[in-house]
Amino acid sequence: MISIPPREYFGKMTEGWLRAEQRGQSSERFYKIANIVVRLQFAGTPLPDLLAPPFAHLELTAKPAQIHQTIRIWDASTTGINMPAAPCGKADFTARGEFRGFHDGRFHAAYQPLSRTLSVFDSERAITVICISDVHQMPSYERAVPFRPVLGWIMPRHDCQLVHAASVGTANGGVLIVGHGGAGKSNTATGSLIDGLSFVSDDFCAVSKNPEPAVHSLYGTCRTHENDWANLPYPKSNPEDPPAEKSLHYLQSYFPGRIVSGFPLLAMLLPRKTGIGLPNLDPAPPASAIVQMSSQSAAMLPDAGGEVLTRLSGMLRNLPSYYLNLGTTPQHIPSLIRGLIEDLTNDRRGTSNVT
Amino acid sequence: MNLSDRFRLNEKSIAYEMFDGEVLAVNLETGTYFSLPEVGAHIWSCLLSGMSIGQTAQALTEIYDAPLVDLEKETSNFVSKMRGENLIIPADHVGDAPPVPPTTIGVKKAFNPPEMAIYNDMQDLLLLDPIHEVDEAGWPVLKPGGNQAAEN
Repeated sequence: MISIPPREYFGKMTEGWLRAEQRGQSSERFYKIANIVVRLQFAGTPLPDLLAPPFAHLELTAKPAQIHQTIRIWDASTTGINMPAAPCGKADFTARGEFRGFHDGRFHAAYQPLSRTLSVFDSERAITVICISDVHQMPSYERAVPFRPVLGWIMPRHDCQLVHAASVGTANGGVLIVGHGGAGKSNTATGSLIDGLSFVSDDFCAVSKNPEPAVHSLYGTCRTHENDWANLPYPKSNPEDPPAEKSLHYLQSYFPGRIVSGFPLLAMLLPRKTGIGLPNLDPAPPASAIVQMSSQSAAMLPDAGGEVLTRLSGMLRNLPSYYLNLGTTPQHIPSLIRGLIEDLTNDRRGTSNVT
Repeated sequence: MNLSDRFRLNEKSIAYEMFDGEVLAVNLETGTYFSLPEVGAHIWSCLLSGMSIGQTAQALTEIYDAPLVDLEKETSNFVSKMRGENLIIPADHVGDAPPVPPTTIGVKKAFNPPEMAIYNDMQDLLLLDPIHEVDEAGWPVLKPGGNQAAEN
């Protein structure tokens, strides 16, 4: 049961942020994420260095005339301003991080226990306030995808949907790579990037349709096992990551110009481990990818519901879909994807010439 | 289960879409998703339009080349399966709108028993350690080595 009205709780968060802003060194940066102009306001010296790099490829150099969303973040450990007490009892925390009964249509809230991060969003004023207990203790897999619950709330308000998918492509367009953890999304995306394709995402991105389907980059990061990265001429972004864990890499510094903000979406791929032969493609029903992404959203995104399935179905149901049979020679996957993009681009040009 | 039993969508937990004659449903509480192609999709549509099990089987005789008694048995079994997966719940009230039967076709199709594919990819994400402890401010404290959501 919620012990304080959401509006009041948001007020407490705003008060905390203002006090933190006075105490800590504050700064702001601007980004265009999925065509949404986002202002990040930081209170606490270490925050920009640790949380801004994933968005480096989307940063705007000048203050924009119009700001769609503001995200205010403070670090409790360096500012000395603690997050407010929980607004509910322990029985009201859900696996996705929401507090049962808090979301009232206007306010959203979520707590990420691993990074001890509290986010509260006022959808009417388009302002989010976030408190992180200690940003230095934030695990690398959360630093790779900062503010994910918040972007999950924001995107539908701008006709986009956050999805758990990788995406790579060329100037003509790209593919969405859909699958559960371990299916081969990250390796396919980073392998394609290294081979010369443009990169939008290895884990989370956004999709939209206006009027054609498109994919948008959220994070210019990837996480790989050390062995996958060891033979590449790039240093680890976080040398302190324990060897057993995946390492976090900020890709913009290694591949300038190839970490792009997005492109038209031409197809969806569902990786399949076959363990035999060359990589190849088989037609797949678009529904498989759409329902997988909807299911993942239901599991991961606070306050996500059945509307995700409806939204994704409306955006992506006419997109060609293929099983990507991974085979035993991953080095051939990028050229397979490149060839598919070329074929689909030619098909579209042929269709538009006819019409 | 009786032929007169009627059901409705378990709206609290289930979202679904129809794709080219296939029903895809997601359980929003467990992340499990379901595919009901062809015959299963027809049964789904009939039930959710307000038909009873018996009326659904009768409607299927317009489409499939099979005796009514067989269709009643298969429909009943499939409805039990849907019920077991919490996709549907008993309908307490039958609306006034007339049931909408599937479109009648010229040549009846061969009947294959309805199928339901179940995907549990998301189970690992949702099988998190329950919150056992909170700190003095009421925030959850995770035990070291506990499950970690969405790490991939």
